Amino acid sequence: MISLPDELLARVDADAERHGLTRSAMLREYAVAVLDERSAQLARGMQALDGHASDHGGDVVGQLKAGRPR
Amino acid sequence: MILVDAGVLLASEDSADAHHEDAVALLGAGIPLATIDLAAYEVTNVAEVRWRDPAAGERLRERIWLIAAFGRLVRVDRRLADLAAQIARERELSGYDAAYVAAADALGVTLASCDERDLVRPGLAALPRDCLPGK
Repeated sequence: MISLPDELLARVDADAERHGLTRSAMLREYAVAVLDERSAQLARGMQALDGHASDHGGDVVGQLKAGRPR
Repeated sequence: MILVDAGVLLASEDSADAHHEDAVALLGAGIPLATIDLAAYEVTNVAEVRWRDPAAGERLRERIWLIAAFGRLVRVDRRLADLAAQIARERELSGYDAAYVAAADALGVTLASCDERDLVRPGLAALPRDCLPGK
């Protein structure tokens, strides 16, 4: 159960009417749009860090485990 | 959502690793990603102490902060630590590997790992290439 101010709900309902959707469907669309944009921002950030890798020997799992105290 | 372990993050910085290309593709695929706070220390240990590559360490930590900002960074608490301990006992895993398995289990998502022997073959994780969209 989510609680929203009346003024915000009125705006959601107006938008839902414009799109021919129910209030619930409109809220689902908002959630999907925001979460998809977050994933796109994550992807863009990750891609900006690409292209700098170098040869570190090719055994990341071995390196990882060697650094863990037993 | 996919939870990536420190090995997947590290593979993105080691061009000689067999999973390098798949790790880079997975991290940039636009899939919701998660990891755990332990990963920040593990990537730092390998990049800064073993590789002696501070620039790689900085990029790896930046990848974790991106996951924290736009995905999910799971922080340890009593419930997660207890679950990790139970998994370590039952599956004969290190506490480190069990922490990633426990976090993925708690979120109900797939764990991506390059650790074929301890995590992928026993069915506790999937290789990065098998987590890519369309797989």
